[in-house]
Amino acid sequence: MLEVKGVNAFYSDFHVLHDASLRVNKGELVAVVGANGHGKSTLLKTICGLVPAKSGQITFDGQDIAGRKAPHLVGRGLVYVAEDRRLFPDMSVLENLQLGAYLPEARRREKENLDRVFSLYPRLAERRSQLCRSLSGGEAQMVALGRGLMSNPSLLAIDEPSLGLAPNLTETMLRTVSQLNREGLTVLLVEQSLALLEGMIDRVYSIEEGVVTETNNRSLQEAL
Amino acid sequence: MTQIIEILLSGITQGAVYCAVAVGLSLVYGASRILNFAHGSLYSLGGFLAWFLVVGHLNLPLWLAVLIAIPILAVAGIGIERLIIRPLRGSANWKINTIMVTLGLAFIIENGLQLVFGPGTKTIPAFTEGVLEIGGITLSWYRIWIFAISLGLVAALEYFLSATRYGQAVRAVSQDMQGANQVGVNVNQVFSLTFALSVVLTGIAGILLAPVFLISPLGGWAPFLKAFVIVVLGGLGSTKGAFVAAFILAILEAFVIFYIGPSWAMPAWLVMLIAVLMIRPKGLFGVWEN
Repeated sequence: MLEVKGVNAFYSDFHVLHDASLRVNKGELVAVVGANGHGKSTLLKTICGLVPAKSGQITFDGQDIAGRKAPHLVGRGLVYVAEDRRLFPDMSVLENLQLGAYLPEARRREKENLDRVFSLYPRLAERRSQLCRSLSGGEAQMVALGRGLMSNPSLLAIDEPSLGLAPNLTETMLRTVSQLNREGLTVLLVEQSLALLEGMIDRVYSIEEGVVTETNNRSLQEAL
Repeated sequence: MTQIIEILLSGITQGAVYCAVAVGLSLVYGASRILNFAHGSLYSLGGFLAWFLVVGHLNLPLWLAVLIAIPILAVAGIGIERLIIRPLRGSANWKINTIMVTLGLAFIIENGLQLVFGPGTKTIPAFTEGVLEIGGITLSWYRIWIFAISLGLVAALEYFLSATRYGQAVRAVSQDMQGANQVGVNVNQVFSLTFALSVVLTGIAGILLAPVFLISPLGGWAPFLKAFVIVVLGGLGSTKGAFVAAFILAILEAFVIFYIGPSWAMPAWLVMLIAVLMIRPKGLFGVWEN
């Protein structure tokens, strides 16, 4: 479904991604694991059109998407959920979710997806008119994920959902992601630690200083 | 007593027009963080455009001139954003650079107007005459009309921002640009749209006020300065703040003009501005803490 080949990306002058390659098949939950500052977020942002790739190939659903910008890719079903949430602070929870369904394809299924998000997170239904500025970290992460789902993704790229969350909230969040994946959503997930992801991922890549390598099952076991 | 009511009413009617000029400035700042120093010259441009259509050459009725001016002003706004703002965006010091180029644009527009129309003042006859008298209070019908039109424009803008998808997208861009990108909002389109709306608003204000204040090539600086004070008082980027601040300052101005003298209006505004900023540095409704 998603194929990344030899991608190089820069943050201003700093060479972050070195010939990064990875693949996500339909229905998989694939993780990219690495320490802070090794290019995890840049990898996801490059795939999702928020950081330009200097060279390399990115194909999504069989089409070349390298150089395409985020607003275009969202319409095709490649949706990014940011580690720093990127909510609209002076809008309500409901407005944030509605904006997830901004593009016509997603808007057609807005009601259906909103029901889905509210049944996933009844707490958001209770707080629908609260401004996002005043949400707790856990609630903000729920809105971020919910807004991503409102965009009607076929592949959801989630950037470190555990960032800034208490361990129990992280666990709930990851369980939800795993549940969404079992329901058929393809997920590309970035995390710092593999320990949190035990039993839910299909394949894992590690990233170190911008170099991505697929880790096979045995070393995955060892890593855990 | 009737005198105080009359002063109050004159302040309120004036406030609505200030509001139309200031809200446009605030809208652009809110969405794209650009302080458009050409805002006042675009106000003059609106006035001259209407003068050209109504008085100068074509003798069209004013309403038709306004209908013709709206798309011209909108295209001017989009053109400014596309041609001189967008190429600078993202480069080092782009905010300062956009201030410099919009300032340059203001001089170009002013000198252009001077070349085409000459340095003198022009006026457009008011589309309605006479005064309304209730219980000893008199108010000219023209003032009532420009009050209603300005308020209508600002209300329409507020409705657009709060109740439509495109309006939501504008607010989304002003609150988190990357977040807006992530949900599929074309940020460049939003910038163009806000510039178009902003130039249309200030241009129409220039047309509406032409019978009252006259039009001159350099006449845009006073409304710009006033709009600037209003926008800072209300909180940079907040259209609601600009709305409230426009009325506060216009009413203050009306009283100062009556009791002290017209030349004290601007000093009074600045004292008010400093006093508010000392207590609330963000302005009345400011949100730029991030």
